[in-house]
Amino acid sequence: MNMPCLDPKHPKRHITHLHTPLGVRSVYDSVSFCTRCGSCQQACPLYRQTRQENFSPRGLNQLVRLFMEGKLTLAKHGADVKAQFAACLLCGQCTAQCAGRVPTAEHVLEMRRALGLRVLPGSLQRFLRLRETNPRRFAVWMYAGLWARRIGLLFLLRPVLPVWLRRLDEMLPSKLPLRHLDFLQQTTYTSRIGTIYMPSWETQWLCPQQGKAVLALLQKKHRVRIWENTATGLFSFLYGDVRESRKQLRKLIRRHRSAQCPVIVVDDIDEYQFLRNAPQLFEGFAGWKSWAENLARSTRFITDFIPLSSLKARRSEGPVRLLGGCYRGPAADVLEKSCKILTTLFKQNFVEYEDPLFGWPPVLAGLAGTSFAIRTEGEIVKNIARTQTKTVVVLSGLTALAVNATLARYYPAAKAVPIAQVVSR
Amino acid sequence: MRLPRACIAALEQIVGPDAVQTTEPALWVNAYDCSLSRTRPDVVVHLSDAQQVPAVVRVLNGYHIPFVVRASATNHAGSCAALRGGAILNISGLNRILQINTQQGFAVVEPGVITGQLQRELAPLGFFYAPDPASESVSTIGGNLAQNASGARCMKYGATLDHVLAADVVLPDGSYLPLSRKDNGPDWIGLFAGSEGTLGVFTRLTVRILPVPKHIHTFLATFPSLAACVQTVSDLTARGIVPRCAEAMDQPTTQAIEAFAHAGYPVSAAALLLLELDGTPMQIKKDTRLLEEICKQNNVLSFVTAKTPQARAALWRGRRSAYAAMARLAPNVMVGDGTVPRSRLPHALQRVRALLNDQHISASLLFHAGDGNFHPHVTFDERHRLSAQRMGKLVKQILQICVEEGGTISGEHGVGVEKRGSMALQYDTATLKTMAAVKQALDPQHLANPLKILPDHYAEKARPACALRPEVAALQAALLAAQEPLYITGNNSRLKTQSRAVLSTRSLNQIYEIDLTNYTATVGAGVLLCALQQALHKQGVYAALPAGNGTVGGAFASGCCPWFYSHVLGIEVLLADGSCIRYGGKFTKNAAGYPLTRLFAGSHGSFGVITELTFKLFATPCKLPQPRVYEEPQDGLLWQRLKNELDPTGRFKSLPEQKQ
Repeated sequence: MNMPCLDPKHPKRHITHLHTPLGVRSVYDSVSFCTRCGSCQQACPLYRQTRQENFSPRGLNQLVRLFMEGKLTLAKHGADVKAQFAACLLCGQCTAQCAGRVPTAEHVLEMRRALGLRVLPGSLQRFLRLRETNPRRFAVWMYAGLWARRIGLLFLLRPVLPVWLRRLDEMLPSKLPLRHLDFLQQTTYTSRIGTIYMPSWETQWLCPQQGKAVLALLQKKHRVRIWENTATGLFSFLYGDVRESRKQLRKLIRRHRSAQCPVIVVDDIDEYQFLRNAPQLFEGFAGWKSWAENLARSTRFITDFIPLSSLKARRSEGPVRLLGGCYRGPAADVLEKSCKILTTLFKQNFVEYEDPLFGWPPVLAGLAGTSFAIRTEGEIVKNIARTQTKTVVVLSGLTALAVNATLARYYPAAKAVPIAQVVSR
Repeated sequence: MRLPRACIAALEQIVGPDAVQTTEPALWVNAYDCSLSRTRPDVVVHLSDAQQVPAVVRVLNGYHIPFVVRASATNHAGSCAALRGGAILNISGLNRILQINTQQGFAVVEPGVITGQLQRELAPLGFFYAPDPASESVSTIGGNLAQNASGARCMKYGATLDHVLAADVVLPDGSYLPLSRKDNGPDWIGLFAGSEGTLGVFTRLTVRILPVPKHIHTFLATFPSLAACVQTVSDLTARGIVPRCAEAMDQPTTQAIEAFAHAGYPVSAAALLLLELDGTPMQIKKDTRLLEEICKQNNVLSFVTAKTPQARAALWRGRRSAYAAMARLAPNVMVGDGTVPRSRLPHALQRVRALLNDQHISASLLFHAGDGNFHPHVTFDERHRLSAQRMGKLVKQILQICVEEGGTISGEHGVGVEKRGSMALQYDTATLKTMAAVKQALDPQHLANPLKILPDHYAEKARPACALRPEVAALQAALLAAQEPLYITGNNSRLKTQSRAVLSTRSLNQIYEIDLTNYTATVGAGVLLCALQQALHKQGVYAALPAGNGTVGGAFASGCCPWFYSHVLGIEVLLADGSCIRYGGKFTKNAAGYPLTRLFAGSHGSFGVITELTFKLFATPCKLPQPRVYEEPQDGLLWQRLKNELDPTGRFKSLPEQKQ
């Protein structure tokens, strides 16, 4: 039997099988596991804002299925569905609520690929793509940008800058250290292969203090080697071409193999999930799949390096909460471990799931000025203020910057801190 | 169906152009709910203000366009499928909580308010809204009322319709009706509850809220047999303890859940029971002692008590993950719903399990042990036609078992389109015809959620009518022989008519059954209240009826005892054409068809002669409010329309006419 396909003309642009929390399934099978029970609706920030079925995760899943079954066609109806598929924030809250753990965000990505949708502004898309296609040029632009910011040039040019750059500028602290200068000086290079720390781009350039905290945690027991400015292919996977993403992953796999497959530590929950799900990009590529599986097995999140026994309870000024992120894949273990860490540290002051804070939308959607993302951010900040939370713990540096920027404006009493910094404080 | 452009323009003028969708994808995503039904509408209208509803309905009525009201669309019956196309009215935007009054114990909400959201708002105030359908975190209060949904707490607190005090309704012709439980006359809100949007659209609801019980204890008990498990609940009821919840499951279900959720349930027992008691600490202590004693009498295998919220949550974790345990196995989960009298539950469950085993179908079987309602969760793949057909057949067989065991085809999920065919298994032609007449009276053009609830060509498919008792047959003959409009009287204690054109129910003075297993009584409508009380007292049971000279039928039909409406489970009525209808039975939940008990409650004999009533009994005396003073009902739109449909020849004296 021929498996229904979204885009039969361009099968290589798509993933054939998804690694869902409940096993490997074809995209059609995966989307068919939506029983239309509607449990996802109230978790979806889009549905909560629009109250329209075609913006709900259930609606998006049904649309994907209708396209796959040929009841709707890309040529005829593609234009009518672009708005809702572009609007999805990929926050994965629906999957967390779903009994069948249907990965709606993955289906949305598949549909975006079929529709050829580009959801980010062109300049932001080109700039971030550089990190994968030409890391050196990316580094040059980052240096130039940070210097321009430091000497005030960015401030002067604000009126002509694109929206995302202005937002990014607002998001960053005024005294932002240039990367390497104080961050890499503290790293220990060893000739022996140890644990590899692969800092995310924001850790390298925008929040090096997170890198310091991670290193402090890792160096207690491990020999650490840093793979700086390494692209994983996550950006292309989310916003570009899946073939480009596969290419980046191949590079990483080769490097990982040549380094005798050590443990790789990442500090960004999105990177972690992407790497843990890397084998799904190589379904049908026999050799690469097993190497990708090896890479996935070797990938760890920083919480794996925080032994609970080493933590001592400490005082906090007020309630501490964990803010969800974009959980498309295997983040449940990280969430569970994070909760345990925070419970050990803050005892009753850590409030777990009592009043759920919904996941912060992808920071890039916020940078792009998507109204849905901005309204969702507002809703979360309102929730933080209502619960008088003092510390919001997050699982990615960029999210910490975005949350802090919004908090500074609307609820300065609270502060967002990445988990590594919370622990190493 | 292609909608006239003028109609679309008129709709756009009312709700705004962005709120009217006609693109193919938008229509397809509004074509389904949680069932297998999938029918594409022709337009989707998103409503954001209750005032838009009458105007939109009037426009649709003007163009004869059918419409289906839709909110979260989480029902399992296919109630939201637009079978004749037309418009989908999305009321999810009507989601404001307008008032919470803790002093008088009510909340005023719009129908699109999520039930869980209301619970969250009430919790800090120390109050709660009693109906708790499993989907409460996503389903709406309006949807719950339209399906008359209930949940685990139903045994103690009742279904949604028992908690709605007032409702504003827009009829299918656009006329607006504020209904209240304080009104004299039939229980109109009760009639609209469970009507699945086929009679009108709710635009505002006033619901009852209750103080949160300060102490709740949860118990987990395992038994060597299903019968022992159900008997425990019956024995509890017999001792005057009504548990807050009594959830149970059989062994294969416990094993399936335990394998998935690791909730710590003992898997060796044949049946597992989760019980919850609430009240004051003293009362709980006393009840717990009794419970333990009763469990021991029924050969309990293990007994665990949870007193703290954390421990309670741990016990509930397994039960709550029952759906998830099945949803991971296959693309579709059929959540069945049938109810039988509690005494028949073990036998019905054994038959259903045998049926599943015969067909080599793995399914979990959960049940509300307190009210005889069970939910088989069966996995299948709708993409395979054979699998879907097999499932359809299986559902029908399960429902057939329910009916054979004296139960109903739906306890809380409604009928919609999925169980429409099975309505003929449960009801005879006259009863289905009466339901059709109710629909015809309020929606003569069949525009509101058409083709739902009632099966096609029901006259040929319906089950044969039961033989009439001799005294009812005599009454039927007298009714048909009458030449002029008749007053229906009981003991003439309230109406006090001097007219000679009277049909008295005094001949129906037999107590047919006092069932101490199910705690129900079935009596003739002419039984005197004092005689009934004596008979019940002998058996050590009580009914929620006052003493007095009146008859049971009179207390029910005169509108003096409105609290009694929710205790009546079954009814037999002689209609104007001499036909006899039977609705309900010895089961406490019934969401199959229009709740006819509520139509005849407080109807003052205008629509038919009540000949028999089945109602709940209690082990302890009930605290009853003061009966209302008898007064003639006020004439109203609903009254007139139903009178014209159910008694077109005017065989029964209509009190409002007499007043004129």
